[in-house]
Amino acid sequence: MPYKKTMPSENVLAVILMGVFAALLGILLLGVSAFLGRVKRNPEKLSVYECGVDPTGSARERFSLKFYLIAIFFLVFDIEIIFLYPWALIFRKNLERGGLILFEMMCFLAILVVGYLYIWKKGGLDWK
Amino acid sequence: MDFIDFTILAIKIMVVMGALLNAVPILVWVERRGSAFIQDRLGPNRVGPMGLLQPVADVIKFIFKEDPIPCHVHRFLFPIAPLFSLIPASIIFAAIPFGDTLEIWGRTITLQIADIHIGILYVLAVGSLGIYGVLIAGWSSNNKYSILGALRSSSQMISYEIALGASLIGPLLVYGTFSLNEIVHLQAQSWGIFLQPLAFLIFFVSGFAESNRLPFDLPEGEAELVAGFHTEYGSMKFALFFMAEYIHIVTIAALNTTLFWGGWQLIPGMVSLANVLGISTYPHSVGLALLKVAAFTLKTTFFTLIFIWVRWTLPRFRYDQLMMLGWKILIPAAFINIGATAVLLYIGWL
Repeated sequence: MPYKKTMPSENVLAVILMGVFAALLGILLLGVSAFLGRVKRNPEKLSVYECGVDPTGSARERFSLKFYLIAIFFLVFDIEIIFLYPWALIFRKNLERGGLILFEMMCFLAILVVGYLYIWKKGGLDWK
Repeated sequence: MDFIDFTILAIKIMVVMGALLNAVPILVWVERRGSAFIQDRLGPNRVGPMGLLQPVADVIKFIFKEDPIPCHVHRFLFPIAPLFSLIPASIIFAAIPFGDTLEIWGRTITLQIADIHIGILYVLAVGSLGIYGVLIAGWSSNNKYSILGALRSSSQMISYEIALGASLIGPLLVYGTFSLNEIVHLQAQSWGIFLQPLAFLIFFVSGFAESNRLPFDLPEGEAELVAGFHTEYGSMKFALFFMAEYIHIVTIAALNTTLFWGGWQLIPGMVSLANVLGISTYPHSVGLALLKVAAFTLKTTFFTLIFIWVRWTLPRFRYDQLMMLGWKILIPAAFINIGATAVLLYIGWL
């Protein structure tokens, strides 16, 4: 396979360069707009946008607990899935050594699915 | 790494960023005119021939618009939030190979900005950084609509990220490598879609949710939240969010292409074209490399157009429907895909 491996440092440099390029571009565009844009301030324009009505109350209101719940589920499931990645990477190369690698991960997946079904049964995934 | 290597790298970055940034006005035009044709209207057709210069007019207007920073926002985070959206959206593309290796003047050039060995992990990690732009924008705006939009958006993005991450395990089992370039090489005989159709479906749907596009554009459902997390933004700051969204679409289309549709592998029929043109004499010739870049561009364009087409065809979900689709359909489907792929590999059918 004609495939040249590059050093990690070059990759890091490339990604950083690209990020810097994007950042400079963004800053440049914002700067141009701030410099050339019309400036005519008035208190109405600088107030909170609430469809033209005078703003009522603070924006730092309490919000639905469901968002918090989703965040916790995300943490659990995302980490479980990250655990699956190394397994998936070596799966094919280790197949000739027998089905142990399959069995092990099936146990892991089964435990994960039990937890998932428990959350489902408890109504954690319903959005009412 | 000598000076010439560095120059080549700089040119590659310029070309890719240039292509991404040029894709934005073209897509805006396609979106506005295309939506008009889908809805049996004419769309913007006054500026330039067929309205082609409309994006230019838009840019000029964006630049010259007043850009007030309202009194109630966070002074520091509010102006830089658009950058948090733009930068991750742009740098995902660094890991995507847009062409085969090219040999010119005795140098071998990989048509990819950074051949990262853990390409898939990089793409997932940087892709999820986009949430910060949304969240910072919504929080720092100190506006009820913004904060609700940001909450919804981040909650939606993290929900679909699980499905997205889980859907990629299937292809990973089949290919056995994280490097996107190697994945494309492995698809020389048959494209990934034929091995992992379910994974493609999950990835494709989650991609819509990740880029906050209709039918998943609840964060900015205009009937309820005005404009969602960017309600308080105007002028160029809004334009940066806009650019980030379109760049994100192109990137996700490119990822679809790379992982499931053979990346820069030639489209059937292009092989005979290469033979007719006489450029397929040796595998790293400039002509063949350009043809492969063209194949990649065509495939990516196709998926980008599907993104636009879907936006003007499907209505928006309700929030509970969105959460149900993510948690109760896509995630189990992804688990089934993982199990089925592993078993099929074990018994040797894949």
